[in-house]
Amino acid sequence: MKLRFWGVRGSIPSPGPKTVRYGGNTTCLEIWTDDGELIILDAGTGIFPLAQTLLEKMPVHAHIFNTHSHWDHIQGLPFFIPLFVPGNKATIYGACDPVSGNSIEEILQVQLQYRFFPIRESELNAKIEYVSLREGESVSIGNALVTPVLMNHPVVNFGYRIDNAGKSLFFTGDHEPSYNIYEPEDDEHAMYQMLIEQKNRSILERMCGVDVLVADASYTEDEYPAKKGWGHGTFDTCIQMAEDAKVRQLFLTHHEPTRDDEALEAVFSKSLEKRTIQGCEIELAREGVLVEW
Amino acid sequence: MTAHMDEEFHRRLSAMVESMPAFPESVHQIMSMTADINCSPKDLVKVIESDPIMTMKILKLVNSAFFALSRNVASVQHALVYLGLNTVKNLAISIATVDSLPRQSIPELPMSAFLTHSLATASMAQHLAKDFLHLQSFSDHFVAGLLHDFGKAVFVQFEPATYAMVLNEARETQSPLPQIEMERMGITCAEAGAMLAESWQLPPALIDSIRTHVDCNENSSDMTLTVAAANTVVKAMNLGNSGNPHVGDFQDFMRRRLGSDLEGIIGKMDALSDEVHDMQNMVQSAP
Repeated sequence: MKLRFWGVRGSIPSPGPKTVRYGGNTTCLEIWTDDGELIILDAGTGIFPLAQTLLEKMPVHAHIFNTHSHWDHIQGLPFFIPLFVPGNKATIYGACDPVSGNSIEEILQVQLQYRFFPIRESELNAKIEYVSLREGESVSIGNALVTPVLMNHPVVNFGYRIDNAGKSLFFTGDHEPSYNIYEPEDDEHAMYQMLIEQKNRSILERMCGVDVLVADASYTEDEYPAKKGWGHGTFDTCIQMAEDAKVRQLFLTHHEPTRDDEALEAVFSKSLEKRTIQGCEIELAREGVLVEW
Repeated sequence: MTAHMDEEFHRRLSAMVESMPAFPESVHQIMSMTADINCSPKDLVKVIESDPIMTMKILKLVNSAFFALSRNVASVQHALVYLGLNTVKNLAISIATVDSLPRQSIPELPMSAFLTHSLATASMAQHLAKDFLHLQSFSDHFVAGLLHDFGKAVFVQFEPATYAMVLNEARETQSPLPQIEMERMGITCAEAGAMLAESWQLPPALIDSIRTHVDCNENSSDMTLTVAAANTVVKAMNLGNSGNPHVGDFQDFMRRRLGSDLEGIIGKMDALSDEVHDMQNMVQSAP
């Protein structure tokens, strides 16, 4: 299995000399399975440089899995060049929106409206298919199995587990561990805690033992109280999650757009110093890095 | 009912529920509360679960096939943990603002009295689950109490004239309401509510309590027991109106399983009336 990071920034692209080492593009991961299938996790602005590398491999069939529909995870989709070229195929997978009832097709349709983009959906020459996913129901991509897992974010967000030839990866998309809305003295506190633990257990079960975990570590513990409820994890919650799920290697991603390379490395070192167990390798996700296992 | 009629009736009922209006004050509360970006999740849950229509619509959606959840969602809190605060908040806003039919009201069962009965049963069922059966999942019992008579709200909205006749006849003859519902409509409100809940894939325990709370017995589930007993207790306390003139007995097995008789339970529920009044204020302006 091969994984390459094309976008590791959260919220908004952040180009410039101070983010050059880790990169300024928003979320996009490229995965090639052992039997040669192309899986793309999220279509943030990182999908544009990825698209350039696919031109020489065309025709391609890209399986694009969307974790959720926020801008930083879909913004590059209209710039995914293979969509314009006949002979290519793209299958776009993701959740329905429970509020509007709209399917995953909307993430491209909305962006290709006349007022926002010069090309209409009907003018795209690749064959495009959409698959609305349901929690826990795996889809097969060649020999790989991709399983959506409902995480916690201000919109429905699927984490994805990919299993292929005995190798595995889990990407959280954007995820904040659920917290109790009740105070300890409230009657409902214990009941709510039980529901949270059930949910956390089910996420951990799905994540358990993967070779590679890519997780949303937007904030430091100090920053988190002011950002509670925004739907993102911290360095510490990600490390804890990786230890609990006994993963082999953890990549921290969704770097804060205001955090430059130096600051990112500084907060990362600080969080590593706090580790009490040394169960897995931990790295900051970095644009362009290839992981092969 | 023939199978065909059953299917047709079911389809019409289900379509009808889509456009059933939520209670006006809960709509107002949801809109004003959610205009504040820091709206309290606890308060949001409180408003949603004080409105049987809104609660039913949220549970319907969360349990619907497109989530394919491995676990049935039986309470608003559970929906919140599964889908997250912002999604539940936006679901509530969309339910509050959906184009709905004008609310039907019949003097035989005013919606404000029906709401009081539903809220009181909800609150009582929760108390029984928590304080008498010592169950941890007592919120599920609140919801079961809140929705046990959902079928009546549907009948009032769907067939106001016929249902008014049914209610009148039950009152005049002092007969159990389900019996008259069967005679005049061919289906009880309990069965209609359960049928809808079933088609929306609500949790089996909740469906069972909606269907069987009218025939609660020794072997009924804890949820059916708390709802049936709560139903009897709130009727004995004259809280609201369920439209059923027949106050079911507080039977021996209820006393045995709950470890208390009717008086014992009422004695511990001094605050119930105020509690219900507060909840009712959240969803419906006082007339």
